[in-house]
Amino acid sequence: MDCSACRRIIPLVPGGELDSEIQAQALAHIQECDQCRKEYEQYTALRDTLAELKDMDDVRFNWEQFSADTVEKAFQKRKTDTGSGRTSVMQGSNRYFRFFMRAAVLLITAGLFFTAGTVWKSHVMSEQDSEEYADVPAQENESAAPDRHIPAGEPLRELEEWEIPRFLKEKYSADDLEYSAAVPKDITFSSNKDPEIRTGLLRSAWLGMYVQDTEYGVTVKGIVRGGPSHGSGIAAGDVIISCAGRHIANRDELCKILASIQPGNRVILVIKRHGTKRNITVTAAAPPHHL
Amino acid sequence: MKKKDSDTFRESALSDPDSDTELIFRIKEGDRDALGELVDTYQKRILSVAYRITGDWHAAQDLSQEVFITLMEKMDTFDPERSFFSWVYRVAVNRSIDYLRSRTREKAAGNRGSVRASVAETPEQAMIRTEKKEKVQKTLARIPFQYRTILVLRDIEGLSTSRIADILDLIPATARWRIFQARKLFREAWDREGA
Repeated sequence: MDCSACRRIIPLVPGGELDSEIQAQALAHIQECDQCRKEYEQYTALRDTLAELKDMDDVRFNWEQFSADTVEKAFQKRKTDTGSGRTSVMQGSNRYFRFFMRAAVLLITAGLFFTAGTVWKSHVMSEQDSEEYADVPAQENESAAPDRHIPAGEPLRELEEWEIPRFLKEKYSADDLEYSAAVPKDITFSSNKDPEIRTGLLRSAWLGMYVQDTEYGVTVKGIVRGGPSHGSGIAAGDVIISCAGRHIANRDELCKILASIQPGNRVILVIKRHGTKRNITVTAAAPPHHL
Repeated sequence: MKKKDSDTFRESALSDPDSDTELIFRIKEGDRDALGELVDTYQKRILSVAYRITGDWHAAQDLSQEVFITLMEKMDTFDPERSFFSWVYRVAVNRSIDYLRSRTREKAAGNRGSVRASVAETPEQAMIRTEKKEKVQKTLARIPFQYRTILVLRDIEGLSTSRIADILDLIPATARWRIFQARKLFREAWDREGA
């Protein structure tokens, strides 16, 4: 072993933490090399100096009193914890029982919060949907006006201001709405009191998924996070065979079926995944305002 | 490198696992004398470790008592398969390091008034003054507490590397590396202190 190798391990030589073979080589080198021996002796001396601190007998301290105090405090703690100062097998198992009970309570609480959260979320969603119609006059809601049909292509000015969907208001200026913009598709205003159904045709069911026609059929390309399909079990790559009991061959057919379904209804989709058919139920929602 | 755990160290009868197991059993049964025996066996060592790490004699006294209170609290959850000896030391080391961290935080917050005496003012008056011991203690305070802890356990308490690894939850190779670094740091600090 040379000096540089010895220097790299020399602090560990006095303590004997090294492998015995390396230790022997290092000691052999130290005997021959004055500089390394000096280093070694310094580390040995420091180690011995530190070891002297272990002896606490020269401390002026009332050990007996201190120990008695410690015992008293620790014993009191033990008594407080166990009640009687004795721990029986029963108390030990009670401890585990309490632990499991706490875990169970926590789980149940978490479950309740989750359920409450889901209910609240759906409530908020339905409130948001109905906000769009919040400016519907109360008397209009209650009136038994006959159904009014406005075909696609008619100027939007045929509609009352509150009847114009928000997305069109956002898309067009007031002048456009007044003079040039056309009704995008057939609208039927029902006499039904439910404002969601009054403008029903513009509010077809929305499943929150992206689909595409492929050689396999209508294939799911993606799921909208937080949308109705999210968490329903449907996944990208699934091929949709039928929707609401009707066979579908392409995307347009799916859209037509969805247009006839009201938000809030359950839609049963039959999908094909890895050659296996599965039924998946999705609760349709109203499309978000930006769609 | 093949691990070699030197047996030349002074892990005394403290670490007799059979007697510890019996003591623990008796303490769980509420035997106050057994608790007394446990305190007699370990308290001096625990107080020493806490003092060498914190450099504060009064804090070390409180810490050593807290160690036993913690042991009593956790006694039912102690795994008898593990070493009681290591557990006692682990609690002592962790408590001491927690104390140092809280003191650092208090100092950082400028709350110097409530900080206990620092190493420079540590009442070595409580001990018979020996100049060399004071110098060693001051030098120890100069090195980072991670290295100070390992130096206390290895070179003052004389515990084996594997025992230290168990106490500090390290692999033995890391423990050896820290011993190496700690000794180098201590030597540098010692040289500076002497200069």
